[in-house]
Formats: sequence, C-alpha cells, structure tokens
Amino acid sequence: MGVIYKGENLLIGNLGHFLVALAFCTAIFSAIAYFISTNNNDDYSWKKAGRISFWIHAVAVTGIFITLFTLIYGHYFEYQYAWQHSSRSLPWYYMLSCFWEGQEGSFLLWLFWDAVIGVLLIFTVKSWESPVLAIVCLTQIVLASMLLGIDLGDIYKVGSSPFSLLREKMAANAPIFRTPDYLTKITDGRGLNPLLQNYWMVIHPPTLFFGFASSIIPFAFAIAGLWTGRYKEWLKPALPWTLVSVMILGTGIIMGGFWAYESLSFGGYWAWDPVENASLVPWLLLIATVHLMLIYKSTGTSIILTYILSIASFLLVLYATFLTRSGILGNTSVHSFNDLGLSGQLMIFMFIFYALPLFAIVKDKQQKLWLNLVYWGCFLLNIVVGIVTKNETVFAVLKWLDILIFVAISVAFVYKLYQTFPASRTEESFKSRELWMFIGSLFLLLSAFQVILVTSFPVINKLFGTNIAPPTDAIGYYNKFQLPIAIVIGFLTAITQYFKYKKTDLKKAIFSILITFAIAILLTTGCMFLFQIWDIYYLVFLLAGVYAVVGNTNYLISMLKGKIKLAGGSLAHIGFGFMLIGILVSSAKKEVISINQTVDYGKSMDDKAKRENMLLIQGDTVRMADYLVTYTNDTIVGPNTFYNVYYKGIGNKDEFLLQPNAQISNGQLNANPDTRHYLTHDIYTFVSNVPDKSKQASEPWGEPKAHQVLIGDTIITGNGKVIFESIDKNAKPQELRLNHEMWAANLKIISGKKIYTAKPIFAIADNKSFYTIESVVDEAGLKFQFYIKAADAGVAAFIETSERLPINDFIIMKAIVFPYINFLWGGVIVLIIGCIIAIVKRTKDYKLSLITNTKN
Amino acid sequence: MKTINIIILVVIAAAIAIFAGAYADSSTYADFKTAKENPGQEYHIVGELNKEKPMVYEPMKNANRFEFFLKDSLGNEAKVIYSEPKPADFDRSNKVVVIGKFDNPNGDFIAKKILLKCPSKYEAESAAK
Repeated sequence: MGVIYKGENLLIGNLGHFLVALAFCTAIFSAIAYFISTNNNDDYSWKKAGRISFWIHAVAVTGIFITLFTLIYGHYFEYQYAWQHSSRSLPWYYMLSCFWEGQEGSFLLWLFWDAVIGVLLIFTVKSWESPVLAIVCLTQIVLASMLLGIDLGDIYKVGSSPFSLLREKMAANAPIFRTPDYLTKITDGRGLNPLLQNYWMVIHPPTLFFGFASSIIPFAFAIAGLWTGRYKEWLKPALPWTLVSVMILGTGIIMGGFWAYESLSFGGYWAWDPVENASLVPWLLLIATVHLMLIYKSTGTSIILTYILSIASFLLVLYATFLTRSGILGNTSVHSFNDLGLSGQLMIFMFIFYALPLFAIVKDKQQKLWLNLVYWGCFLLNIVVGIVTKNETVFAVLKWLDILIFVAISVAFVYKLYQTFPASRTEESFKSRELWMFIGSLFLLLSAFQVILVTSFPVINKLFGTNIAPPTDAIGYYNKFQLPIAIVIGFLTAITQYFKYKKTDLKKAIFSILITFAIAILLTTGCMFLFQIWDIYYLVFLLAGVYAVVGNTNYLISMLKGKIKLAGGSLAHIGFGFMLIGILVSSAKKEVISINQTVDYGKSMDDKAKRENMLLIQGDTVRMADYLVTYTNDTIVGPNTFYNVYYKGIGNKDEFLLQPNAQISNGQLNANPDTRHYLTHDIYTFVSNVPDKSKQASEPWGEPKAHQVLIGDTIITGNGKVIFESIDKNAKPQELRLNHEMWAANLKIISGKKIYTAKPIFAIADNKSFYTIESVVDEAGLKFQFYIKAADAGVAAFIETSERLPINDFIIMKAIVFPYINFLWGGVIVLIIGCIIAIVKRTKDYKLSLITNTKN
Repeated sequence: MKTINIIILVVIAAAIAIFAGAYADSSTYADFKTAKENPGQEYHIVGELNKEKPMVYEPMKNANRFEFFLKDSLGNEAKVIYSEPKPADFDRSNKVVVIGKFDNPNGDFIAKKILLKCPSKYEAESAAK
C-alpha cells in the first residue's frame, strides 16, 4: 500500500496489456465488419473495413509475441511469466519453449498461428473472404480473451494475462513485496522444465499448434457454405487447406512421438496417454474429412457427412483443449496441467461454437428467432445460476438441461442438413471408388470414437456421477479395437484406388487387386521369416501394411505411369502402409534385454515383466542379450549427468558407448534415454534410478581404529582386507613447494571382488612437528591415516582406519531393442511427402477452377 | 434397402460394440477395502503417501522391488508393492494413483502401474523466500 517499487520496468508490461486489448478489440470489430459484409451480399466497404481491422489485429498479435519474448529474453523477472518459466542461463532457442510451458503462452501461440492463417486466407480465398474471416475472427476473439486477465470482481475472471507482474500474481502481502527494492532479491527465474529443454520441444509444440489452429479452416468454410447458401462451392478452396491441416497436425503428432522416444523414458513413442489421444482424434477426423471432400468433389454424394466432419474436427480440437487445459484429466494422465481457472471460460466457448453450425443453417426468420431466444436464454440462465447459487440440486437440474440442449442442437442440425440436402436416389455400387472410400472414412471415425470415448471417462464421470476408470491394461485395450480397424483401413487403401468413381471396369480392377494381393502374400511370408513373427493376428496386420504398400506402389506405376504430380494419394497410402509395418514389428518384437536373470524374487514376482531393470555397479560387466554391458563412469555437463554405458557385442566387433543422462534436482530425476540407431533396429537405454551420491558422501565416519603394523601385515576391517605393502619415502607430490619430507604407506584394499589402493601420507615439517594427510576410498567405505611414532620397541608404523557404508556408484537401467522402427519414421516421411504433392495438386485444381469460372 | 444404409447400420453396431467393450474393460476408482474384498480384481486407487512409514527400496538386493504405504481417500491404509525401480520423483509427490490388485485378502497390494501427481510449482516452494 503506497509502496513505490524500484527497478520495475512497467512500460513493457503496459505495452503488452495494450496490445492484447488492441488484438481483442480489432478481432471484435473485424468479426462484426465481415459479418455485416456477408449479410449484405459481400458488401465491399464493410469487407474492406474488416480486412484493415484484421491487419491491425495481426500486427498486434505479432506485437504481443515479440513483447512476451522481450520479457523473457531481457530477464524481466518482475513479470510472473518470465520469472516462472525462464532463467538467466537459458539459451535463446529454449526461450521459445517458455511460450509453451505456460498456458497463456500456448493460447498466444494458437492466436498467432490463427492470425497467420487469417492473413493467408485473405490473400487466397477471394469471394469467401467475408464469411470465412468472420468465423476466424470469432476464434480470435475467444483466444485473445484468454489473455485479457481482467477480474470481474471476485466472481469471475476473464483470461489470464502473460503480462501480470509477479507481485500481482503472488500473494500481495508476501513479506518480500513489502520492500520497495524487492527486485534486487529476485536474482533469477524459476527456469524452464528440464523436459522442455530439448530441441524437439522447440519445434514440436508450434507444429502441433499450427495443426490445431488450422482445423479452423474446414470449419470456417463449412459454416460459410451454410451461411451464404453456396452449399457446395466451398469444398474446392477448403480441400487443399484441409490437406495442409492433416499434414501439419500429423507431423506435429509424430514429432511428439519421436520426442517421447528420444527423450522421455517411458520406453516407446506412443502410450495412449489422454494428451496424445486428444491430438490424435482431430487428426483422424481431418483425414476422414479429406476423403469425404474428395468423394463429394468427384461424385456429388456424401455431402452431409462432409459437413458434419468438417465441423466436428474443429469442435474436437476445442474439446481436446478443454480436456488438457481444465485439469479434468486429473487422475488419468501422467501429464499434469494446472488449471488456471479458465475451464469455465473454455466451456462457454464450446457452448457458443457448438451452436454456430445450427445458427448458420437455419434460414427461416421465425425459426431463427426461436433458436436465438431459447439458446441465449439458456446461456444466460447458466451464467446467472453459476454466479448466484452454489446449490447442488440447482446445478444438477441445470446440468441435465445443458445435456438436453447439447443433444437437441445435434439432432436439429443433422435434421436441417437432411432437409437442405435431400438424399440422392441413386444406389451406391460396390463397384465404385466412392463407396469404398466412404467405408474407409467410417472406420477412421470408429477409431476416433473409441479413442475419444475412453479419454472422456473423467468427463463422463463428472457428468453422470459414475466412477469408471480407464482400463488397467490401456495398451491391450486400445490394441483390441485399433488393430482390427487398422487392418481394415490398410486393406481398403490397397484396393480402393483400383475402382473408379461411379463406374468401374470390374474385370480390370479385380485383376490388379488379386495380382497385388498375391504379391503382398508372398512378401508377407518373407517378412514372417525375416521378422520371426508367428502370431496369425499379427501376420494379418502385417499383411494389411504390406498390401497397402504393394497395392499403391503398383497403382502408382501401372495406372499413374509414375506421374508424380498425381501421386499424392498413393504416396500417402504407401507411407501409411510402412507405418503399419513399423508399428507392428517394433512393438510386437520389441524386446527388453536388461532382464535380471540372477535374482530369485519368489513366487509373486515370477513373470518376466517384473525384472526388466538391471543394477549395474560401476566397473561391472553384465551380459544383456548379445552384448556385454559395462557402466564405466559418469560425467557431469551443466545440469545433466551422463552415464557412460559401454556395449560390446559378443561374437562380433560391434562396440559402442551410450550416454543415457538424467537431470537431478531436488531429489527429482528426469531421465533421458540414449539410443543406438541401426538401419534394422534401435538399442534404447535409460537409467530408471541412480543413487544420491551427495547424500552418501555426507554420511559420518565411524570411530577410527589404530593398528600398529609391519610391512606385509594385513588389517581386517568391516569393509575388506587392507594389506600394508610398502613405504614410499619420497611421497611428496611434485607440485607441493613445501620443503617437508613425506612418507606414504602403500595400501592395497581387497573389498569383495574389487581391489583398490590408498596412499595416506605422514609428513615431517621439521624434526619436532608432524602432520598427516588422509586417504579415502569411498567405494570401499574406508579412510586411512598413516603415522610413525614412538612405541614399545623404538619407533613403529601405525595405520588408522575409519569405516562407513561404501559409496556405490551404480545405475539401474533398462535396455530395449526396437526392431525395424525405421519403417515407422520412413513411412511418416513418405506420408508427409504424399500430402505435400496432394496439396500442390489440389491448389492447382482450385486455381484452375477460378480461371474457368471467371471465363464463364 | 440401400447398401449405404446397411453399411451405416453395421458401423453403428460396431460403435455400440466399442461402447460396450469400453465399459466392460473399464476399471473403477475404488478404495483398498473394496479391492481387498475382491482379490484378483484390478482397481485404480487414489491415495496419499504415508511418509511416516518406511519406503523400502534396496537396489543392491533387488532393483525391481519398491514398497511403500498408501492411505486411500477413506483412510484405509495398505502396503503397496511395485515391481519396478522406485519412481524418481516419488518423494516429492503428494498424491499417488496405484493401479493393481490384491492377490489375497491378507496380502499386500500389488501395483502394476503408478501415476504420480506432483505438487504444482506454485505450491512446491513459496515465491517469497
């Protein structure tokens, strides 16, 4: 109160607040302008106003980004965001990662990508600008409001600002803030989560977020189509963009998988964690959307599902954001997210966006009025009730009302779609490509449905008061459903292209299908022996992958005559086939080689799965599969401790060093694996536990015991035998300038199987004063002093020993062999290339259609 | 009936199968008492670590055995045996979800998976030192 703080740079934060407000207001204005323009036959002046406003918005968003980066880069720790997520020692590229460690930064990133997408759309979508940008601006309003950080009294806060001061965010009465110069006491920030200090974490989140952000495009186009009544024309410009979404979101997801594989120690690239699932589901939906768009473009059918999916992809992105950001996943995810109190806000946005399609499709004025009345009435009711009462029963009633509205909106929308697009009367033929593509898309939906269903258990629990937990064997459970679906999709990708749209020359198609199938069977048989897979179920899965590769390769060569421009689809499918092969072989034949063979754990622990970690004492060599493995030592580089694990092949010349590392702070261990990559397999190693050496080294020594000795004598201690071998009468270290005479006892210690040496020193300063220099052997838990003094018979040599628990340098490690995992990564790359080719092709198609349209 | 309708019916049937399957395979959040009464049945149990009782992890003897005591939300306590190395940030976590079962009503809880909930950064250390 009345304290004037010293040294704070308030200008930069005020600039940030201003830019957020500017971005928020321009988004609102732009949305309104574009809205009016759309409703007035694409009125040019309003469109122009909307456009200019969006330009300002884009500049403001970029400004927010730069301002926040400046806060972090300049170490302005008076700001909570910089203090909490960064530190002085952070290199600049990891400062980018600070953006996605915090929730505000994540929303900012999304806001930024949407602004970029908006600008690109303004340049490319021509006549669709007004309605599409109006929808984009609506999301921008939402996202910008997440950064506002305005408290509406104690009742509700809107957003959370990344430009809040530390003293605003922390308890204001904390003692530190009572002094005006508190900043001098905050010398450094809390730093970035070590897990994020990884190059994959610099590029994975922005890629993923671009994928998420871009899902607005099919959504905006579908709404725009319904809104303007140009029900079908939107597909052409939307198709290449949806492909971009598929490609980038897919890249983002797989980067996440690769990051997990390279730097997390859960032993794989995919764990069916809710957070991973939440990004997978929109992706599956987007893929299905692309296929349905293609069907529609070529045959004019399946428009209804195209609409539903284009809209659902974005809604699922919103839902995924809600799941991961609201903290509701709580007990089911290893990822922990703090709830910033934005879940209420997120729910309101879901509420609004969910109803948007219905608002766009209803044209009748009377119906629209009723819709508005009922919908906004419920909306207000929710808000008012939320503020006024804390009564449980009222909430329960409201909850059921909301569920009812949710169902009603869905039913009404689908009903309206059927009204707008009466079902065609023609019979779909099994000889047509569109039918098979349609079936494939439905299977993608099934896959997505299963994943989102299980991921939503916490939400279901909350809604219906149930108490269901995810299956205890999550991986087995997902496999049970996803494997057969993947098999069907694999087969479908192999055969579908041989059918033509509408009608097919069946003889020719069946011939190609059978020939390629025969080849696939042959190859799979070969693979069976090569990969040593004998399980029939796995073999069918393998066949699906191989068939997808063979079928599409043949199509590429014989039907497309190798024309690369047209090869997008085929290439993407080939990539998918390789991914299936890679996933199957690397997981079915994955082998933990660090199996502890020596210790008998009794009955309850007899299965192999329980012995997957191995203790390696420093210097010991242990056999793991075909390798002799030695843990030599550790090296400390910055915050990381690298454990040098040396592998030597048995019966071959293969030798290599793996350096799994860990960051140890506050008793917390973040282990990162190290992997030896071969073309055909990877050897993956990580430490699962290490001793706390600093703790061991501070243990006290036991009482010293003096032993009078002669050369050749052996002393028995609790930690091993000590042999007094000789006296070195010239033991003075060369670098020591003192003119003292030094004698050392050469000691040999036999501790267990190990032998160590020690050299305690007895120094003579002049004829009267003596001193000793002790010698410590931590590994044996022994400390020695050596001196010579008067005894019964003249002078004698004495060795004094102290004992404590030996300090053991050991690691507990796990080593896994992943065979043929390169099929997976290679397949992904092929898939991405296929997407790029398809994007180029579809963009050209769209541009061509623009030219022909203007000619007409 | 049109082919497309048949296909859609099949897909809906599959969706229902998935739904049923999800429910059948799902586990439940429970407490130690329920788990004890149904030995062999796997449960998710949310609990708090009893830091007063010993946590035993002796890697030199057995690197794959870790024991600790957990108190569930109803206050029932049980000894939990986990056949993996001690999770690295275990000491810092306040809330633990163990997934596993009792083999017999008088035995210990055998966890096959542990999820740790660490206190958020805010709570871990106060800002004003």
